[in-house]
Amino acid sequence: MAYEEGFSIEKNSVEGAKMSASQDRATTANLTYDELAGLKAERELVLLIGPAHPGSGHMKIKVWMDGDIIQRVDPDIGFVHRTTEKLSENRLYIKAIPIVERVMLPDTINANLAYVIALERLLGIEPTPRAQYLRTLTSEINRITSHLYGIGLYGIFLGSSTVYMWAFADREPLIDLLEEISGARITYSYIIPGGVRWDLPAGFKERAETVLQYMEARLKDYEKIWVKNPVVMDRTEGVGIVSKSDAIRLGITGPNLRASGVDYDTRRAKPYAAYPNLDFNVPTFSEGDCYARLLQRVEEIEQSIRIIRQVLKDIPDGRIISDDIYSKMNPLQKRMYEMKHRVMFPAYMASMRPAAGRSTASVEAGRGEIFFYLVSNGDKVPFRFRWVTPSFLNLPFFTHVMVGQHLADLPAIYGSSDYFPPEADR
Amino acid sequence: MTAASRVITGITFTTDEAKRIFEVEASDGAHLLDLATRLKAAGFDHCLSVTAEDLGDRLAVLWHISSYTNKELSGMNAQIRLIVSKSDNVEVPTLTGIWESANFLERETYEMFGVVFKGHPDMRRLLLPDDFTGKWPMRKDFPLKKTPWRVQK
Amino acid sequence: MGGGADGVAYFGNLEKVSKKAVSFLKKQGYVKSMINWGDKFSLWPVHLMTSCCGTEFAAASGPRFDLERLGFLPFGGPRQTNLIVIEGTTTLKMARSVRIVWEQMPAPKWVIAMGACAMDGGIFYDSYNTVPARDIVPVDIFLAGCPPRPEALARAVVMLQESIVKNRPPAADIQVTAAPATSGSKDVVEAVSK
Ligand code: SF4
Repeated sequence: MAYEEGFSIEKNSVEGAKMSASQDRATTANLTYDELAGLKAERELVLLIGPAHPGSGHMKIKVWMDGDIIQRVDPDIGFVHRTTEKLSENRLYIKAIPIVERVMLPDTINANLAYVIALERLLGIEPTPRAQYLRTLTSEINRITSHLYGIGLYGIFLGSSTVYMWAFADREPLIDLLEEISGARITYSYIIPGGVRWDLPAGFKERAETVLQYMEARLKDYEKIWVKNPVVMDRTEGVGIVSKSDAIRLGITGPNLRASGVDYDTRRAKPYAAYPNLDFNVPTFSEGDCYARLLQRVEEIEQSIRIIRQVLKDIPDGRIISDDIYSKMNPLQKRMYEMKHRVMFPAYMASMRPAAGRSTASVEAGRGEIFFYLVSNGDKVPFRFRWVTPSFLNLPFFTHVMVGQHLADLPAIYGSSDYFPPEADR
Repeated sequence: MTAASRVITGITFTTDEAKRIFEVEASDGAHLLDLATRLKAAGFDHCLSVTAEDLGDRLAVLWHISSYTNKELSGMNAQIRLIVSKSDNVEVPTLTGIWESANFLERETYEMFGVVFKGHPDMRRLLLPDDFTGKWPMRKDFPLKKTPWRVQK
Repeated sequence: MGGGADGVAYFGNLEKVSKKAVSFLKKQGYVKSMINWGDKFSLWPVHLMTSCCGTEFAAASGPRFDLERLGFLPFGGPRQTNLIVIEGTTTLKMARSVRIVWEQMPAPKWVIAMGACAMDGGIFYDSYNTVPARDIVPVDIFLAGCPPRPEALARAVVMLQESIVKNRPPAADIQVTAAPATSGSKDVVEAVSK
């Protein structure tokens, strides 16, 4: 099976060396039951899983086991720790946008949005209504691609490459939509303080509608071959249960939290962009198992489609950049804007010095809540740049939920959390 | 800045609505624990972030908390701030006993700022390699590499 | 050489004959080109994600770009692979894993350094926790972009195939400054601070 390749017993780990199987058999052959029980502590086997990809990507999970029952889990992360906080504190404000995007690559718009909202609050700029809708639109398209990415990789974890192929193929039309808007395939850097960089291209609404209809039709197929597949249900139902109170206690976030029955969505609780004007449901499931987390993502795709339709219908006309920024453009840039509806960076962007102060921002990304805390001391670079990503908040999930499960269920549980290590390590 | 305030269970938060800052200052460790216990009882049920700020000769340790269940509080990113003097190993009490979700966040703050959380169940490095030799990378005096690499081949 | 009564042919000393045959075939050069041809279409990359370029690597293996048509099939165990694609930043922790995986792979093996980060640090060039890929393993192909599009990855694979067909040897091993696990990561830290 696919996940077996990811496991490796590290030779120079003391615990690993202690536990050679033949030795074990030789010493336990003539022992009584009590003596065996006494040996139990010594029989603990330590497995180091990862950081090769299938089984765990970019991270090592240290698992203590008795037999094949997991006793304790210690996630060893930091394999992709690229010190974004330190780097951003040494860069201009605007240059932090690519950095936060690189960390959340399947979900760049939401990372970009969270940072820009925190920065706008620091600057005291309000984006225009049209920009708010465009942000919502791109953020929802990105949420779908992010969920499809998660579903596809979950397929790999469960040994079904069909779903991986399907999900990655269905991700492409949506990526094309975003590419049409912003000009890049994955790293859009689309949202800037005061608004967004490009307006919708001509004929976008029709093309988006085609893609949405295709996506809806595909979701039915997914239901047949993946969600209602007896193999998938057997492997995920009742596995890795997180109760509602545990989810709250551990501070789990995003779809994983809602799959445990907590009705919390940052888009509702801490409204931003155009979400207060839109009508959407926050699906929740009460089971809290891997299957619920899978269903949760599928349902959220449906809600995102609903939001995108509304946005395309209701989107107001007007500027895509706030007057504060527009007034700082030079005449050439203004002409460019009027002609092509594209924002060229005024020099102000490079010399931004927000007044001393602090701000926080929360945004619902594909995997949960991104939290930003920015401190300015009036300089060109942030004084303190703090951000917490959803995957990092979901880390206690592993230590809690894997205990008492079979080792064979580990990939199922790991995959169901949609954990993206570069995002967690920042 | 507008100096407004909001009172929750007798605790006064200094607030700045536009910037979404809701702050309460703890005077010392005992006060911090007392504040945290009361805020937990009021409905703040999880910890969003633990971090610190390097203020030169002092460190400000911050806990950001919010609520999943209490609809009134869930719109807030409240923060508790404790200022301590800076040394190689700063000691502050842990809040993992109150918010278990602070566990990994406090470990991160330990390795980045050298803040030792007294009473934390597992005060180890998290992101950096175990044998990383540099001290407290997120403090302001920690240098970055100066010259970018060049490809020689 | 002689013939037996019951239709069995005797070829004398089989060992000698086969050695002669091998040296004959080697002189002809077909064998080398056949091996090269085989290598060309069985570049199996080891499934080791090092960083965010991995999302584009995943997309490249997906149906739209379908790198499998070039014989590029991601595989879990390093023992069955002959290509390692370093997908972006390698951190101090990851550097050791990369080196261990590379050492586990059978020769001949190739390395593609994917993304600006693997080439030169990219936007994380001044970070205290990253190591350039070329200090860990010998790199054959550098692939620019942040992240490179899947088409670019396909191009890199094709370039590698061309160089294999032209009989260029894989890049020679380097003096490792970023060390594998056995010698601890102190060397890695030194490599970074030098
Ligand atoms: S090159 Fe860009 S996309 Fe690739 S790892 Fe580096 S930052 Fe990430």
